[in-house]
Amino acid sequence: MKFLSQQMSLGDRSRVVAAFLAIAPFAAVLAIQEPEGKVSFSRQVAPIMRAHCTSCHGTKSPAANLDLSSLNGILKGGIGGTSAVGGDPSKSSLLQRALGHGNRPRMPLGFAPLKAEQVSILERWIKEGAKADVGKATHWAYIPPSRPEVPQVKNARWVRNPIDAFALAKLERLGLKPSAEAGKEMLIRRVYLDLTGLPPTVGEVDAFLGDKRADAYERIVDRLFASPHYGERQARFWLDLARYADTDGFADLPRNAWKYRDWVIKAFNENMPYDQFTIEQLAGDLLPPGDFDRLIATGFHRNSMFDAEMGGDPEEAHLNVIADRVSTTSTVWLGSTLQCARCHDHKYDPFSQKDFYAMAAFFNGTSSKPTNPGEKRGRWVEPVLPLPTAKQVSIRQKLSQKVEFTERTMKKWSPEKREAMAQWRERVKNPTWIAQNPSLESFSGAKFQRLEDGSFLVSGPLIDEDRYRINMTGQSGRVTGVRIELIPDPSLPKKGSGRAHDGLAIITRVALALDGKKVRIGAAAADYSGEDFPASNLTSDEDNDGWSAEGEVDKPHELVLGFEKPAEISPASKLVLDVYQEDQDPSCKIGRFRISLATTDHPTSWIAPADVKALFDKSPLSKKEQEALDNAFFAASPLFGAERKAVAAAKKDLAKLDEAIPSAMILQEHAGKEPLKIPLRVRGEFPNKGPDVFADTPSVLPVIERKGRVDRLALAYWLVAKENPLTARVLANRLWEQSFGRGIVETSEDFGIRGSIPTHPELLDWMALKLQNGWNVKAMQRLIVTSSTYRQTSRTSKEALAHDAKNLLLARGPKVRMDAETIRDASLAYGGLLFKKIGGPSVFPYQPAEATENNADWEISHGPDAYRRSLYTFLQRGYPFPMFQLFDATSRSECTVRRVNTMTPLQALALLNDRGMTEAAEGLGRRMMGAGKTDDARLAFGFRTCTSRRPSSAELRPLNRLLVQLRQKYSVDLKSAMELSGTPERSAWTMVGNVLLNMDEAINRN
Amino acid sequence: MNFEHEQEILKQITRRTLFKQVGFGIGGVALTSLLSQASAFGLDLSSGQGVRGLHHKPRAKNIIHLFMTGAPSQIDLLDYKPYLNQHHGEVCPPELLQGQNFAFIEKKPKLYGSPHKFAQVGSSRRWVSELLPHFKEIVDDVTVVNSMSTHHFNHAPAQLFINTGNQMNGRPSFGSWSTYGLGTENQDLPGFVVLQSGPIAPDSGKASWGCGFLPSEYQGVELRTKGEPVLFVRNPNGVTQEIRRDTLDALRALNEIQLQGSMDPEIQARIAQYELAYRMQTSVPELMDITKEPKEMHELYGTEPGKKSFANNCLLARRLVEKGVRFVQLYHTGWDSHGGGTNSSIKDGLAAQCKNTDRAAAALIKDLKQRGLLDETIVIWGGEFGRTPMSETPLDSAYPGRDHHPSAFTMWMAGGGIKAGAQIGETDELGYRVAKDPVSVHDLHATLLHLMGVDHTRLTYQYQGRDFRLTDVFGEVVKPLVA
Repeated sequence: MKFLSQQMSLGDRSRVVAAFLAIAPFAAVLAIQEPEGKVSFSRQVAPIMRAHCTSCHGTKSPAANLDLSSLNGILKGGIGGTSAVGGDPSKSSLLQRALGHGNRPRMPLGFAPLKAEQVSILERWIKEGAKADVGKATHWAYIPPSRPEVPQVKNARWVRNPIDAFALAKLERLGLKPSAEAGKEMLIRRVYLDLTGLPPTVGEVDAFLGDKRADAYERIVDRLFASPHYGERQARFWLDLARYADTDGFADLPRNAWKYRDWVIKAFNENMPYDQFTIEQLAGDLLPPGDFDRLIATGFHRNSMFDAEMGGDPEEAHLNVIADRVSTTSTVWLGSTLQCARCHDHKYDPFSQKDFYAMAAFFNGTSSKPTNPGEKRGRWVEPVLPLPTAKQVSIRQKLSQKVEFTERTMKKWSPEKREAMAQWRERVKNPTWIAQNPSLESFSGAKFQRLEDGSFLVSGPLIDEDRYRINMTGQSGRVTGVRIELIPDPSLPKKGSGRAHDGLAIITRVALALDGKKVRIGAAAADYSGEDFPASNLTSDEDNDGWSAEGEVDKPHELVLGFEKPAEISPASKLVLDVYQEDQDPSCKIGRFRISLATTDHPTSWIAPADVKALFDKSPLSKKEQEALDNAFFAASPLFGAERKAVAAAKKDLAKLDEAIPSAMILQEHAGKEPLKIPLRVRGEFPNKGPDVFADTPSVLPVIERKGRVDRLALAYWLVAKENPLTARVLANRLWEQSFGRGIVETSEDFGIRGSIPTHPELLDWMALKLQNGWNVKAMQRLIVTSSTYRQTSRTSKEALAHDAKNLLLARGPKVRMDAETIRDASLAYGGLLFKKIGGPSVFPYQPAEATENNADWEISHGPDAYRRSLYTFLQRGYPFPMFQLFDATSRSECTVRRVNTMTPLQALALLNDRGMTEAAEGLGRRMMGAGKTDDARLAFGFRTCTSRRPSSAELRPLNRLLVQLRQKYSVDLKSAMELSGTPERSAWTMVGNVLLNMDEAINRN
Repeated sequence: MNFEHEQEILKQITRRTLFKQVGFGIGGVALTSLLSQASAFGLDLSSGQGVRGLHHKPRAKNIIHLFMTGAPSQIDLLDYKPYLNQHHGEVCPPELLQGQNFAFIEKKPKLYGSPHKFAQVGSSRRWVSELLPHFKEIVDDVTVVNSMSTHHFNHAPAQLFINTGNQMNGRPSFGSWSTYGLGTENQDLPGFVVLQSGPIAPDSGKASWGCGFLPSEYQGVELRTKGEPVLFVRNPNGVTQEIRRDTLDALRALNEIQLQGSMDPEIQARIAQYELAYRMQTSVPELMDITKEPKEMHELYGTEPGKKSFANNCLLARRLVEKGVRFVQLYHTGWDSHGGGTNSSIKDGLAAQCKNTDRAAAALIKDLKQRGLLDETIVIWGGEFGRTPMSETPLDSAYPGRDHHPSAFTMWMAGGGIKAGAQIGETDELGYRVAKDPVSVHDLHATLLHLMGVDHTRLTYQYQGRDFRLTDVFGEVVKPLVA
């Protein structure tokens, strides 16, 4: 049965078995339905070999040493000599053995004999010389399409455009007829879902039913092409190809990718020609400078996964990214699986390992560098383009000016300031700290040992979080601040002042109370702070990492907390300082410290960095030293409290603004005229470098233009050149697949020798040539959705299913299960909840707590953002949105052309019970209640909302029965009614909505 | 067998599969295999005479993988290194460090012997750390593999590598390959179940049990002891099971009207899926409810119903295997002993981890054995890599730790077709590198598939034009592991 499994994808398991039956009779049919003329090796002979011969006579240990999987193999022959002699069928064992002549067992051994038509193909091909089709390429996909004649058909009235002629010609040859045209209700729902991913409303259906003009359908089609939701729908498919996600993969850090997603939506809406669409995404940075959009487009190849965890070899990580770019480019444009050639020559297709690295070289010129140059460890970074709005630019300018002006004014010297400076120096030299001998408690049971100098040495457990509680008594009178000194100790790691193995301690926050009443801390200052740990963190309301002396842990340091208002303390009072140490690294706790209090004003101004203090008695000072001294004064003196506050506030606003400025990940070529190259990796192993390979396109395909530098731009032009046999066919096939659920080449990701053969090769070529003329995607889709072929009813019958379960012959319209995103979008639309805003940062709709418990990044969106279209849902590669995952959306780790289609009970549970689906059901229930006076009218409205058609009376019966049951049960069980939707009547309608949303028809596109 | 006969079998299968075997399905490969074996042996499949195992007679039906994510320190548990203990505190020989990357260790690390006592136990005289008192009781039932190694030294890629044979997300996990190849024996439960415990989530996220490019029915399904036992299994508040039944009756009636008109087998299958979903609403919570287990079971495992614990998950693993679930994977996190704090030290922290897991893991082996299930179930225990024989923290730290170490680590396994009481492989005297009988992750996969009746070179799936397999182009069956 091997020949069957090669014809089909095992992925589509729900249809697999039916396909077993269906495909067998037609596999042969498909192979021989060729126009008159010479026999084609690639389209007619090779498929017979693949179906009946190569399971024994294949590349891998071929029986009788005869490899029938390639033309070379056939001509070379096996133990018994050549198997095909051009022009002489009687001497060609290929034919003779298939016929069972010459006293030898008939081939294929143990299977049914070849059909007469198949034998005749072999005979004719041998008579015609046993040759390849044309040139050196033998496989159909590598031979450029030649303009096929639009066939003549008997039933010419059925033909709306050439697509129909091709489809009908095939049916007529087999003596079959197309199905009737779909009813208007089926048709409008189909074309809405295909072009915009959203179902029509009841009102839109009614308007269409009422429109008796001959071109009513075409008018709908044109309106949908003009809808902004068209681009959203097309983007869903393209983003699978582009492996678009909002996280890196691996450790899965978030990334800023959505500007690229919005670029794709816009490009489709504007019907950007596919050649331009290609060039901008692959090489927008190499085009003459234009608007930012061209750079944003290059985000296409920034979507590769990236391992940001430390420790890896950045060059290897970069090579992995390059390999992903090669693989994606060849799959998306060439329908070819070039990634197979990363380690060795492709086993089936004519791509060598050198071809792979020649393609890789195109992507080896983008700028990227390790974050720590010279070190092996580090992250390979590529550029990010900030994209502030005009408003953001102007706010930014104003804030920067404010900072600059305030600082300039502050630093203008005056006699008063000189006087204050002298005082300040005196204060720093002679501060008046009052030593304390507090009692101490540790949250986690740490032990404190008092040393002679009044400091404490800490030991004991180091668990996740701790808080040292410092109880001070005995002080009386006015108190203005508290000082924590960190003191290095030889017994601590690295002779530092903290307990971590690098000597670090981190104070994450502090709190102060006098006799149980909070004492507000107005300012915090330190003589030194680690780069990411400024003392001001301790007075900030926002989440931060706290204060530490990272970088100077082996020196003593002072942290001063100034009270907002001086505290009046009586001898019996208790002043409590809580020092929280809650860093992620549990060991970053204080190892030795001392506490003292201040009783006069502005204690935070009493400190200065050690190197500045050293300047106090030095003279003369260099310009730089003078500046350092002045700056320390401006930073500490109480004279400038207001200015410092204003600058800090403005800087905070600036930081916030900068964080809010959207950005795009882009490609950027390094400057240089050197030819692009990359070393081949023997067996694909990263350290095993082979010879350098220069940028080039695969040798089986047309040569690349060599006018300028052979770079990504040249590659992009080559992909969309008329000579390229693949790009247009691959695109035509994908567009077909979008509308018919299955491509003319079913393996839309693989046009290679192992891919499926086209069911309608001339139609594919006709569409490809049409596309090449202007690359007009909307025009091609318009031809498809206005064809009679597309407009057939998808209604099946037992006979039709038995005959052609997969609808390979296009004798009926396509039924397709809606994809994950469409199911959710449509349900939100049925419930009247969908918020149709286009574009913007990704959103975080509700998912069950169980799914997000380990996922800190998922902060649920509230308000309308909870009901955006699914393509705006934040896409986490490591934590896929459960509902999407259940309905076969991919993790977007790699380029995916075709999703598999499965059916599991977990899908049923999700549609029945997910909170989002329940809200949609409630919304639908509410809409039904307002939609008519009778139950029947209300039910009909709900039914029509979900299916676009009116229910039959047979269909209304179970719904009415259910409604009665629900009303009765909810009117008794008021508690349940209250919990679900508030009242028995509303709850009843919610559950009717729940049923409607779950109908097979509601989640299928008929 | 002639072509017509084959067609006839296909028709039978078609009916059986589409109209009866909805649910978590028998695998695609299993189906093709049934066909090829049926034609080879002339079996009549319509009689329900199944052929188990895909390529040869299986030794085991199920796998329970106790994945200790974070990487337990083999040096302190099962890879006894007296020579390392003798050289404690010396600078690590520089030739060992050449060309090595470490996640955190810098400059000149020092050797660090195990602070824990080891003793020889069981009739196999295996050296076992004092941290694993319960493991000592099952030591003669398991094989310890001391010669594991991997390619990745960061948690996420290394965990993915153990699970999928590849460091990328987006590849099918071992559990998915198993259910894809062999299907499941209980159509009402997922064939591949995941249970989690420990302080954090596994670093690699849900990709660890993803189905990659295989159909999503082969994806690992998370079951939970807290909250919803399986996602979406509970009705919304205000929907009783009686009302759920009413709605499903109406839904069924509507779908059947469609089916009558079209004879579309997909509608038939969907109707059945909804019925199965309804049954799961009772069967899954029942399955996850361990309160009715007898007292001696709770004592054996150390279970506390209602808690999220490794012990509860071990008991559940046994219940799941009893019900015919093909692949059960337990994640227990918290083994990342870098040192610097109590929880991450190889002294107190590692001891606590062992205390939380040792008893239940041993109980699982004992319980499976007494029920006769160990013969058909493989239990595997281990992390994603090992830990360095050098200290990551200063020698005198009260909270010593070890860094990530891909060059050598230890796993143990027991049950269906695996030798009892054996040891495979050795590391060098310092425990730094594998010195004898290396076992790669691909070898491990090849061996486990082999025991399940599957030839790892023949379990393939064509995706993007290429035949993918769990073992990529590597892997050899480790013969000495096989009983």
